[in-house]
Amino acid sequence: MLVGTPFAYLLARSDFKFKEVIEAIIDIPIVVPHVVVGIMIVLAFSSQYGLGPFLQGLGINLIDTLLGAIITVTYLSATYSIRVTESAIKTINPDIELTARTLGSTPAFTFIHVIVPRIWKSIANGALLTWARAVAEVGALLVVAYYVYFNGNDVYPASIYIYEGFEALGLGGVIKYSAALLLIVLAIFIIYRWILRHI
Amino acid sequence: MDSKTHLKEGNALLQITNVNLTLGTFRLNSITLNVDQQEYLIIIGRTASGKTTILKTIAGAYKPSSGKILIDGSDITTMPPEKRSIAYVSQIFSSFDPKNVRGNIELGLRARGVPKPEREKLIDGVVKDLGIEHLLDRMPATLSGGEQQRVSLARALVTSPKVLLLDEPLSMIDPETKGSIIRLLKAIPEKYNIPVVHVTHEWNEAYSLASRIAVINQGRIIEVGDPEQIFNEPRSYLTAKLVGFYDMHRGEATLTNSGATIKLENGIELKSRMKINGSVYACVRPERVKLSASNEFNKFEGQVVEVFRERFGFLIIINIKNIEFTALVGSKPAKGDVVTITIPEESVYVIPATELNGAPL
Repeated sequence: MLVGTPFAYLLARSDFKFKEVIEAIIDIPIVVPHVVVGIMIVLAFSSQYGLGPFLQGLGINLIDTLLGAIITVTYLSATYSIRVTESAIKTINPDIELTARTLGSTPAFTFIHVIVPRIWKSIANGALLTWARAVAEVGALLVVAYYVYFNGNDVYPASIYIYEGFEALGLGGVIKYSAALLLIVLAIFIIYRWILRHI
Repeated sequence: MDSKTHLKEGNALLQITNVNLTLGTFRLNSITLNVDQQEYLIIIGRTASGKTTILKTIAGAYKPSSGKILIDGSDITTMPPEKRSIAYVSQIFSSFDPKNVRGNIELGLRARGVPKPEREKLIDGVVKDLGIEHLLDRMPATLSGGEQQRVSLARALVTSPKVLLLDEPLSMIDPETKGSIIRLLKAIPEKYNIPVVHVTHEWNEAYSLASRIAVINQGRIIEVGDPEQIFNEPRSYLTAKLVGFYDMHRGEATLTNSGATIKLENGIELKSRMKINGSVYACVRPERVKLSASNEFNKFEGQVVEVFRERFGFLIIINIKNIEFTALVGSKPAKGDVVTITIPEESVYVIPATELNGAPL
């Protein structure tokens, strides 16, 4: 939400050089297999390639770290948040912003007090879709952060853990985990949407 | 017309000088307009002529490629809208949802950091002026077009702008309410000691409200004048069309002792009191055409080809030797009737067919 909403506003309201390139980069996760995106991230940030050596010099490591997992799923899932919010912003007549600006509102004040109250449900829906997409991520995480070392433990994302279980134990070994994940996600979706409808 | 001739004497509060702007394929060309402290300037033009673009450029939505905009002597050309001391009222009422009327009026004051007690005082004053005290707790979506327009004006005026910009403020208002809003708008420059710049395509509205009118076509100001001059003696073909001259026929004018005789393309001759020679447009308002043979001159027989109902009678189109004239009459003739019309000489207004005037709408 914090990254996607300002980005969505920029895309909805501004024309700038290379906008098409930025939009294509945002849409890539929809069309390219996520394993490929994972490989690109490793190539860009592993210790031997791309920005990796530079980031390692700063003490930042993205491969098999929580930070790497977060950045990977954020990039792969943010498309939904950005596009949903962008569509909502585009339905607002820009004249309302000009009106508010001439009354003395700065761009930030206008965004917070005029735009956000009109689109917050779309922001929330986009966030839900983004979170759901992140939960479902497997391909890129298999490449970038198969497991992460966190708080003294090796932590596996739920999707990877289930996939691993399926590989090792077969169908019978992962039914309960799959069902649990499904129920949790379903419950979250239902509660979230109920809250949105009743606010 | 050279836009430089629009410059007024004296210290105008709003000065727009040689402003050029390109938006895609549309261009504003050398816009120069000065507006005095308590002036009500109306910019009139057809759809897509550039009138709203001028307004939004003054408001700060677009940055001119060249030229200057000054308010009270300060250059605001590149300033962001919130620093300009200008209030813009858009054509379609845009509510700051989900705020009620009070919240809508308050927003500008909150953005400026005005303390709450002072906000309350300012809001009380403006809502009393505009007669909307009883609407403060209502949601804007539940208001009528006229009430919404009053809220828009309150929202703008409560911030004490130096200039008020109105984008077709009467276009979404029902005819019954228009009269009261026109009265309200007309009082603003004096009551709030500010100039108003109002854009419209309605010449009735312009004539009722303006202390001065600017005519715009294809991004260019083609004429500026007081309402009587623009309405009765437009200098250009385009202006004449906009202000209600329905019939504008090309002809050759020859000077006579009392004015001129204009020979139209179908051979008929119109007499005018205006002294003019050469290629011209003979312009006639429908309300000046009489359905009787009351005059010695400008008396023609023709056939009624169309009849339209109007608020003040019937608008009929009469074919006279393949040139059509329009008349506003009290009684309804039938389509196909042969009628005689007369056009008083003083009602035949003549515009030279110059290069500027050679491009009919």
